[in-house]
Amino acid sequence: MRKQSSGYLSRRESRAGILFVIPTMILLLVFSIAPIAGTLGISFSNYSLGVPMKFAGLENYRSVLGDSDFRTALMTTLKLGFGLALPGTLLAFLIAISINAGQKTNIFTSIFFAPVIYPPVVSAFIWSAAYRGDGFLNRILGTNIEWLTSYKWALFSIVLVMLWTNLGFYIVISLTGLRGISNTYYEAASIDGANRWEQLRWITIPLIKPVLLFIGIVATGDALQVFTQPYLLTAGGPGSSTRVLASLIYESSFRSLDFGASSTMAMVLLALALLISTIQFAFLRPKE
Amino acid sequence: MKNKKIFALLASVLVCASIFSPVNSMAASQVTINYWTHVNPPANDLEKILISRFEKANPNIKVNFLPVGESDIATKFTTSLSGGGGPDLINLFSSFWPKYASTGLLASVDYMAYAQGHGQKPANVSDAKKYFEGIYSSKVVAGFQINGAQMGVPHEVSNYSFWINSDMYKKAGLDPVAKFPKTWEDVIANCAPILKSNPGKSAIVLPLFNAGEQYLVFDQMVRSAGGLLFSADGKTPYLDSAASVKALTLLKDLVKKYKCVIPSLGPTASTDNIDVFGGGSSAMLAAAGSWYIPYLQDSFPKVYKSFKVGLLPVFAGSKPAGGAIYSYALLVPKQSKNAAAAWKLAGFLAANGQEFFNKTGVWLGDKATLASAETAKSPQWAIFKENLDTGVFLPPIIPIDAVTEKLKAAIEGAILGTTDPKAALATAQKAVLKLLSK
Repeated sequence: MRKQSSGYLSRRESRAGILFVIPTMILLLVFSIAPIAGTLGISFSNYSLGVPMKFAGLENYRSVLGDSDFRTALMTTLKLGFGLALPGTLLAFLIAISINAGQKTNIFTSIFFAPVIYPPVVSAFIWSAAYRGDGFLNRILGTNIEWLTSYKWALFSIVLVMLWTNLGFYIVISLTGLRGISNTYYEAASIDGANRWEQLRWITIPLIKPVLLFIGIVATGDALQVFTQPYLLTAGGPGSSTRVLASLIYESSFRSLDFGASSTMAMVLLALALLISTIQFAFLRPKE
Repeated sequence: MKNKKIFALLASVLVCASIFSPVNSMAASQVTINYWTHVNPPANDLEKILISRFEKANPNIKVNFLPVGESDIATKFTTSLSGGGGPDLINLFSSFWPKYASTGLLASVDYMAYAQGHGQKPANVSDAKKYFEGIYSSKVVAGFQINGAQMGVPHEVSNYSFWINSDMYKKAGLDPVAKFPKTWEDVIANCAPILKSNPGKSAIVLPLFNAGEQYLVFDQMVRSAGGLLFSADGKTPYLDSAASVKALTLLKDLVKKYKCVIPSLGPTASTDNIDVFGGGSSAMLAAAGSWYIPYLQDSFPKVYKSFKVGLLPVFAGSKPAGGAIYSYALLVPKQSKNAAAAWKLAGFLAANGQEFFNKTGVWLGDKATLASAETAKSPQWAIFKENLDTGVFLPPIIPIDAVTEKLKAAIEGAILGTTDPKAALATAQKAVLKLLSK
C-alpha cells in the first residue's frame, strides 16, 4: 500500500475540496472579477450611451485626474474615510471594552447594533429631521448649528450619521475579538501584579490588533464607497462640499451618460482602496 | 395520401410561422407597450383611467403603466437603455431629452400615429404634421426640436409662480393682497415684520440642494435683471453677466444681509422647498407651478386654505418676466419595437388636456385647453396664464446635469458659503464653457 505523505490530501479529498469551492469561485468570477475586468476595459475607451465604443488609451485617466471636480470629490472622500475609520475603530474598541467589563452585555450590544439594521434611507430621513435648525439635535445641545446647510458642518454631519449607522457592527466585531482573548493571560498578569491599565496596554491591545485592523479596513471601505448618506442628506451640497467619489461616478454614468469617465473614476477608487488597505496592513499587522 | 401529407405539412408550417412571427404588427396581433412616468398621484390616477379607455379603444394594445420616483426615473431609463430594454414611451422632464436625442437614442415623433391617438385619420404624413403643429403653440413645440426634428410631445407644461402664506402675512400685520410682493425689494421689505411675528420661521424658502429648481428660479431672476443665462440654442452661457451677478447678489443678501432665509429649516436633499412652505415653516415660496394647488390640498390642508399666488417678483423698474417654462415630454426610445403604438398612446394622452388640467391643475401645452372657458374658470388661472405668456422656454442644453451642478455650486457657494457672487459666477462660466464645448 502506498504510504500517503502528511500534508497532502488524498486525491478524493482534493477533488471534493475543489468541488466545494467551485460555486463560490464562479460567483466571484461572474459578480466580482468579470465586472472589474469589464470596467477596466471600458476605462480605456470613450464609451458613452448611444456612441460606439472606441479605444481611447489613457485619455480618460488624463482627463479624470486633471479634473478639479474629481480632485475635490477625492479629497472629500478621503476626509470622510479618515473621519470614519479612525474614530469608528477607536470608539468601537472603547465601547466594546466597557460593554465587556460590565453586565447585561446583550442589551447594550443590541442597542448599539440597532442602527445597523435600519435601511440607510430611513436613517437619512431620521437624521434629516434631527439636523433641522429646530430639530432635536440643536434643541438638546442648545445650539443653532446649520448642520447640513453650512460648509463648515455638512461633512461632519455626514460622518456622524455614518458612525451612528456603522458603529454597532464595529462594536460587535470588537467584542468578538475581546472575547477571543484567553482569560489565562489576564490571570497570569494579575498574579504578576499588573493593574488593569497595564493588562489593557500589554495584553488586550496587542492581541486585538488584527481585529482593529479588520475594523479599520471595513470602515475605510464603507467610507470610500459611501453614496446613500450624502445623496439623501445633502445631494453633494452645499455647493459640492460633500460630493463624494461614488456620487461623481453615479452622475457621470447615469446623468452625463459618460461610461468611459465613470469607469475610470471607479478604477482610481479601487486603486485607492487597495493602497489604503496595504498601508493599514503594514502599520497594524501584528509583528512576528 | 401523398397530397394529404403535403397539405398537412404546409398547414403546420403556416401555423408555426404565425405563432413565431414578430408581434410588432399593430393591426394583426396583441402589442404590449411599457409606459413610464414620474410619480405624481393626481396625474397617475387620471392616467390609469385614460389608459383603460385607450385599451378599450385599441383592443390589440396592452399598456403596462409604471410611475417611477422623480429622482430615479432618468437613472432607470439610462440603465434600461444600456441593457437594451426599457419603456416604449416615457414621460420625462424636459431638461433630460437633449442628451438622449443628441446620441441618437430617441425616435422622432410619428405624426400619423400621434394623430390616430387623437382620433384623427390624416391622409398623409404632411397633413398629420400640420395637425400636430396646430395643437400646440410654436413656443411650446420648439422646445422639443433638435435640428428641425420633433423629438418629443409636450406634456405637463408649467412655470414657477410666487406663493405666500396669508396667515403668516396677517400675523405680521401685512395685508396679503395689498402687500403681495411684486418686486424683490417688496420681498425684502416684508421680511422683517414676518420674521418678528413668526419666530423660528423663514420669511422665504429657497430651493437649496436642488440644481434643477435653482436653475429655474435663477433663470427668471436673471431675465428680470435684464439679461439671459443661456442663449436660446443653449450653446452659449452668460453666467458671469452683470444681470447674473445682480441676481446672485440679491439671493446672497436675502440669506446673509436681510436674514429672510433660515437655511437650516430646509430644504435638504431629501425634502423639498414646497414641503417647507406647505409645512408652514416659510411665508413665501418661489418654486412651484399650478400643479402645487392639488398637492397643497392633499398634503398640507392648513396652508391650502391660506395660500395666495401671484407672479414671480422682478427687480424694481424692470419689465415683467414670467418663470422659466419647463415641461415634461413624451418620448419614445429608438430601440422600442412598438414605436407606432407608443406614439398613438402619446397622442391619446395628449388629447385629454382639459380633463388633465381639471383634475391635476397642469396644462399639457395644447392651445385648446389654454384658451378654453372651462380653464379660465379655474381659480388663479389668470395669474398662471400671464406667467406663461411672459415666460421663456428653457433652452436645450445637452450636458444639463453637469451644467446645472456648476450653477448650483456657484449659487450655494455665495449664499451658504463665503464666495463672492462675481467670483463664483466667473468660475461657473469657465466650467460651463468647457462643458458645452465638449
